[in-house]
Amino acid sequence: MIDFFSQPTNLWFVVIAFLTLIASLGVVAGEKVMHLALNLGGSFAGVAALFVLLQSPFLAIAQVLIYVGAILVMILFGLMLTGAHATEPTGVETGKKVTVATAVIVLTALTIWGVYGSAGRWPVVPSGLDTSLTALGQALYGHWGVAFEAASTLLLAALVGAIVVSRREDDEA
Amino acid sequence: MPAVYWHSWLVVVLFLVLGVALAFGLLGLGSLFRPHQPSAAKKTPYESGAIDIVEAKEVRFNVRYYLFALMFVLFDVETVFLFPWAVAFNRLHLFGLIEAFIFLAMLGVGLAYAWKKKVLRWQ
Repeated sequence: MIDFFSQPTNLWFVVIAFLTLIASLGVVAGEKVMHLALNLGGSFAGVAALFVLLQSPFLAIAQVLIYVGAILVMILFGLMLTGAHATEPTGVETGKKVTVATAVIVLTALTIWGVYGSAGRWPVVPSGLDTSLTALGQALYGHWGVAFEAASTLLLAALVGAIVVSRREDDEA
Repeated sequence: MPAVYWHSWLVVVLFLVLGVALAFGLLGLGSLFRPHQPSAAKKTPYESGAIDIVEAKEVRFNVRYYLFALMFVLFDVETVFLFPWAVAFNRLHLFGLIEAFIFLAMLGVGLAYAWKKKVLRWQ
């Protein structure tokens, strides 16, 4: 235990993971929808900090740009659209709470069992692998070029789908 | 990882601390000097001096904001994908350039579709 905390990185991990967990708990345990969304932002930011600790600055920046910068804003807009109930208590029934709690416990147990049960069977990333952004760019546009172009098709489908779904009423009118 | 990595992130932490300290520090400093005499009229949210029709929490945003946010998410992801390309540009040569332009063209089709569907127009 002393060994674990002698590493400053581990100490930072405990602090950031704790703050992230607090924010995540705020998302599920809070009462007002707008507060839940803001807690979600804190949780996203905490995950970005964890990526920094994992020495993946690109993932950290992508996390901030996409999750905090875009998806959270989209969620906030969505809450403002529905308006009236944004600041009112969510009021979930006890039956649903019990169902969700059971599902969470079962899934957590399955995850822990899956991780510990398969220890040693998952491939381990070789140490000394070049994880720089240049190497990532070369891999993404070289070896994984086809998958990368497929991702652009996915983005296109998402864009067209969003427009089709949200503009339907206007077309019929 | 070299110490340089952690030192460069220390600057980011410093920025965060300074940013928060600036906001709270200025407000705290202001509260020391400004007079505090609240009245009902001072507490109303206002726009152009007009009396508000609904409570601030009941205001509903136009659905168009949501469409813009949705499109922003997609083009944001596109930007993030282009970042590694820009960094590795010197080693990717012509093939990488063509790939990036195919990627951009795909999203360009999406943009053209949004344009044609008048999603970008504010009515």
